[in-house]
Amino acid sequence: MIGKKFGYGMFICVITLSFSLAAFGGGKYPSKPVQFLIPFGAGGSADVMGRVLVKATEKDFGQPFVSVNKPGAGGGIMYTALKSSKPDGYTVGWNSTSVLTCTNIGNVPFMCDAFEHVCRIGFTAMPIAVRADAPWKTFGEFVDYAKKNPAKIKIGNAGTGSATHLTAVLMEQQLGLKVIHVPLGAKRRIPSLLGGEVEVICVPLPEAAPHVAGGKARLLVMPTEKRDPAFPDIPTLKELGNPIVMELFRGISVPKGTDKSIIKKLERTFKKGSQEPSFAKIAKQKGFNISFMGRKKFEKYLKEQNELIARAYKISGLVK
Amino acid sequence: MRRTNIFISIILFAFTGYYAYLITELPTRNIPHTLGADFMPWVLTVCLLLLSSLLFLESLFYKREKQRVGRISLKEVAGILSLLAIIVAYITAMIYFGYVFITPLFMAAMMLMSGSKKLKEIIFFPIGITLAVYIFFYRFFNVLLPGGKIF
Amino acid sequence: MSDVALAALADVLRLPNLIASMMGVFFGLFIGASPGLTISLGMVLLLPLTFTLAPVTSFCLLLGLYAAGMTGGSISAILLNIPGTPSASATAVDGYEMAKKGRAGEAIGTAVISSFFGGMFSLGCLVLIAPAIAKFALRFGAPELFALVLLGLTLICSFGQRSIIKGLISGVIGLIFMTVGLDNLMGIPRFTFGYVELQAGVSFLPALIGLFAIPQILEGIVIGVQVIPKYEAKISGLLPRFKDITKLFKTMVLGASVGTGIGAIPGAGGPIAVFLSYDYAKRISKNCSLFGTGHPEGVAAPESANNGVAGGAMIPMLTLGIPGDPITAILLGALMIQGLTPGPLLFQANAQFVYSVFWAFFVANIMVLFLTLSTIKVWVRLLQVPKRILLPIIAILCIVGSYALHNTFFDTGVMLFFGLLGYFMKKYEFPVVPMLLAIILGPALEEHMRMSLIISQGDPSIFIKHPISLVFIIISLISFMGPLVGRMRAHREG
Repeated sequence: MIGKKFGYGMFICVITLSFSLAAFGGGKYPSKPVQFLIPFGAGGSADVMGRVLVKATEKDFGQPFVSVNKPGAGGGIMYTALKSSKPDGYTVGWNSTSVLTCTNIGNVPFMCDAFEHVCRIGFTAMPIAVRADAPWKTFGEFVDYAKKNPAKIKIGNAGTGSATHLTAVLMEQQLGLKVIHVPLGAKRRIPSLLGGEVEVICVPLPEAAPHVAGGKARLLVMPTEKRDPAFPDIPTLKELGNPIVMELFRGISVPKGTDKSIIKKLERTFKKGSQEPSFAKIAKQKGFNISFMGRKKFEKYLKEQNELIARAYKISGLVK
Repeated sequence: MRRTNIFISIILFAFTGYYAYLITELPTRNIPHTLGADFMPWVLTVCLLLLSSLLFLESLFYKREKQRVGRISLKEVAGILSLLAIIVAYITAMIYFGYVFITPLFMAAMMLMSGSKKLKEIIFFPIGITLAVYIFFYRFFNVLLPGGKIF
Repeated sequence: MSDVALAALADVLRLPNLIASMMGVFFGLFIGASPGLTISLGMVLLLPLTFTLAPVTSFCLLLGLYAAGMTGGSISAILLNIPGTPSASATAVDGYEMAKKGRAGEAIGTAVISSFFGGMFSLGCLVLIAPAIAKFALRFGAPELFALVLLGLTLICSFGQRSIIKGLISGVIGLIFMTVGLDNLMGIPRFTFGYVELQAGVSFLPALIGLFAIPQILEGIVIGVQVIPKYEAKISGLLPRFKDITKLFKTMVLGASVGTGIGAIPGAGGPIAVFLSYDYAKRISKNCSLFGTGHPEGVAAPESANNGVAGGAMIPMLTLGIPGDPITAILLGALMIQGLTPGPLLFQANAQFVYSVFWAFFVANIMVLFLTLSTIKVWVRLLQVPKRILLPIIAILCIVGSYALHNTFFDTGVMLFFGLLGYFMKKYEFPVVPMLLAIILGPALEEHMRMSLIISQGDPSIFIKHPISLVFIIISLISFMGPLVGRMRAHREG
């Protein structure tokens, strides 16, 4: 009987030991799988791009990434979790413009400088789209109409305070218009446009592109730095004389205090990953423009975008 | 049941009051042409107030209801509390030591509580199930299980 | 049948595609049945695999998972009263009661067959009248959706078994819980007590798991109630008889049409369809008093609606390129990654692929049907596992599953909270289903109501001016008053 119990005891010990060996890899970074936090739910654009990116990065990195969805509060849940995690390089965040919006609106008790931002991978354009049968052929015509009919045109966005809303707010102020902002949310924006509930939407390009191709919708203008390679005919706001550049960027952040060598390593790995053909192929199909920015450049870019977003919040009256 | 219902409706009154107080504390932000963030909560407050008053009055005046006692015995309270304590301890322990080490212990404890007596069962099932869940969730679906701060 | 359709069928029946379907179905059954793993998560996990597969093969895989996930959710709902997917929560009501009476096999059989029927029905709609349905579905704007959700909420009355007041209280408290979190329309946090995690609101699945599973565990372990249905070894009781199934035909048609219709409306959601069809089946049934006590019709209605939603949601996805629910959104993503553009053009440019999708869905449904029917014995055997082992396993799955959902113990806390609440509600005869309905529908109700007012610029007549919305509001009023009047009349007579 004692022998039997002893046998069980040994069994437990062996199991425990083998697990602890697996847990303590020890040695150089990275020695164990890295958590990859995604600020939105499974299946969305952020989720798919993030998962594809880490898949492409893994080979070179040497350790797998485990993707974790932390949706909610416009990304705030993920950033809060990232901020409070250990700065050891084993928790990495997939940031986006949401790191600027959810902080500036004041829903989380920190700003975007609470993180070390490793790099930008690329961005998605957020064009202004209308139905194919809309009376305006160009952006100019739309502006003229909107000026003559104040508070008539409804512009749909992904939610109050989101990047699409702020783009519309900045445009409204810059051009001296008066429009109605409708926070349709991501699920309803395309059906609402096609169903005629709103006349205009500001929407991430990949969502609008199939409907443009299918002849149901048209793009009027892109609030990006340069024209989009997939839609070279669509002008940017900038070239029409309105200096508004608002892009839905995505990049990598880690908690403050992460070792410089780890940040360097991540920057290098993700740069390589973003150039992988497997990632590039999906990115192209999802309308995601790969344009890598290193740590220094990204910090500067974030600063500019942050100022723009802070200004937009003031204009919209969301923040005093 | 009648007395319990009266008691419940009093708790509901208190809850409604607290909720109403929280609504008054809500930050305000105006979007033209629509109802504020506090509209729906106020509607719900009124509904709940109305319903709990109805429950109160019904239990006070309407006596035909069968007396189906829903009293909680001391033993039951103790049982629930101890089970909860084990679950909370399990979760806390997982935060520090991770899923793989703690789960067999937790499951063994639960099995003891639900009347398992065979030693073999209490040792092998917890380990087997822990590993099965680990493999299914983590290895197979790449879903993270609690990792533990220490390990 | 046209040549294109036949060529597509031949393509789907190729061995690699059949294997892909089979894999998807296996995956789906397990994902659907385990709390904490959702169909969307399963799809996202399979998505990278599909990048390298041929389009048809990847759709065989994904659709297999979709169809089987829905059924898998019902199996755990019937056997253990834990809905693996939100849409299976209505099935738990009667399915679990049936299992408790030793009719677990029959319940699963009924569920699987009605699922199959729902899937086939919605596929038929998808093939034959998709463009018309899609066009109609597009007319659902904010006021229409508000009215539809309102209609869903009036079901609270029909689920308040003993006391309507208690049912309503349970519903209103559910609605109150759902006001916690970030208000999407204005971007302000409500009732979060300063916790950022609460801004995400009450997570839906942990609340569901808590309300259903935790009371079971508490009762089973603390009080020693027989919470796991008894295993009945009688083989004759394992499968529903053909005669019984034909009796359910009317219910299944009803469920499937409600499911397909509501599934096709972008943003409406499967759970409304499931509960609405349950309620309508109850109303048209001759044995409406048997609903809630383990009646096969109460399983057939939500189950046929469940898989009807699957086909229904594919209607706007394929014809308009608009996903009807989160799962079809992922399917849409998969299409785009394959370089295919959904929408009317897809039918012209890639007709054979569209037919392949139809066939793949068909094959997936058949596989689910046969696989589940032939393994009913194995599933029911699960009930043979002694309570002292099964209950701890369920407890671990609930705790770990709610953690794994978003990798946070916060959700586990939410689950425990709702678990305790559910226990006491059961104890004091507050029905749980109204709270569940409120949790599912609450946020949508408020959002669509306020959105409508933004669109109409503050004019409340928008709800009446839109005909669809007006009709739904009238039906809501009738269905809200119906049980009240019925109850009063019964009172006067009794």
